[in-house]
Amino acid sequence: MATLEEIKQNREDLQKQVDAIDKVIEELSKPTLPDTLHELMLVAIDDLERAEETNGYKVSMGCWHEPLNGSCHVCFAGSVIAFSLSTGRNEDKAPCDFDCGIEHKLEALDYVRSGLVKDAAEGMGTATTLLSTLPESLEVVDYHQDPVKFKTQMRLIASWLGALGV
Amino acid sequence: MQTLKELEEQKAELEKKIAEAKRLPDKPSELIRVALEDVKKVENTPGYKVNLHEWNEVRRDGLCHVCLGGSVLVQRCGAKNGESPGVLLEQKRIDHETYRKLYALDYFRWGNVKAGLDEMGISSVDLPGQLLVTDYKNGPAAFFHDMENVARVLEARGL
Repeated sequence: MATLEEIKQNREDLQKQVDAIDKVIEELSKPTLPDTLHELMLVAIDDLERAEETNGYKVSMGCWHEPLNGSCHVCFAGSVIAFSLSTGRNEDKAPCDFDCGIEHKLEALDYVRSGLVKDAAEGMGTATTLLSTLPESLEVVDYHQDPVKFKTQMRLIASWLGALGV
Repeated sequence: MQTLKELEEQKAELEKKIAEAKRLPDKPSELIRVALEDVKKVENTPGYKVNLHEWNEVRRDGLCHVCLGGSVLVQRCGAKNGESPGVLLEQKRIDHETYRKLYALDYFRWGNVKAGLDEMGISSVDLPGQLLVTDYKNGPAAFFHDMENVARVLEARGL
C-alpha cells in the first residue's frame, strides 16, 4: 500500500504532466499566420473585405486596430488583427501586443500596402538571394483613393510574389 | 488698473497667438521640414525611439516608438505615450486640419506624395505618385536625405 508521502509525490507528478499538456494545448491554440508574404497578403485581403462588410469596423490605413468614435478603425494589417487573430472590437491593439513572429508579419503587411515590397519580404525573413530580385518599391494606389484598385493591386502583387516563391 | 474684462481679452489674445504659433504649416514642404526637426528632437529625448510603424506606442523595449507624424504629435500636439491622432481629435485636443496634416505626414514618410497631398486637400497634378524614401530603420541619415528630397520636389512646385 502506498504511503501518504508516495501519494503526495504521485499527485505532484500528475499535476506536472497536466501542466505540460495545458502548455502544449495553449501553444497549439494560438492563432498563426502564413509564413510566406504572398499567402499572408491573401489572408489580409480576405480580412480587409470582412472589415469592409462588418458593422462596427472602419478601414483607416493610419490605425492598426483602434476603437474610435464607436467603431474599430483598422488598416490592412489591422484587419488581420481583428479577424485572423480574433481580437475584440473594443481592444486597442498594435503589432507589439503580439509575439515577435506575428509582430513582424503585421509590419510586413504595413510595408507592402505602401508598395515597399522589399522591406516587407525582408521582415518576413525571405532569403537574401530572393530579396535581391525584388524592387525597392512599387507604386500602389492608396486604399482611400480607390479601395477596389488597391485590393486588385494587392492580389496582383501576391500572385507575382507567389510565382517568385516569396 | 486693468479691469477683469480687459484681462480676459488679453488672455484670449494670448491664447490665439499661442494657437497660431502651434499651428502646423499649410505648405507640405514646410510641414515635412517641421516634422523632420521634431524627429531630431525625438532622437535626443530619452525614452523615445523613431519607428515609422507607430504613431506613439510604448513597445516591449519600454520605449515609446514614434513615426514622422508621431514626432509632431508628441512635440507639438501634447500627446502623451500611446495617444494617437484619432484619440486627440476625439478629445478635441487637435482640430481636423491638424489631424489631416498628421495623416499627410504618414503618407510622406513612405514617399507617397500624391496621397499625402490629397490628405491636405491639394490636387497633385504634375507630380510623381511615389518617391523613394529609405526606411528610418535602414538608415536615419538616408531617411532624412530622402525626406528633404521630397520637401524639395514639393517646394519646387510652390507647395
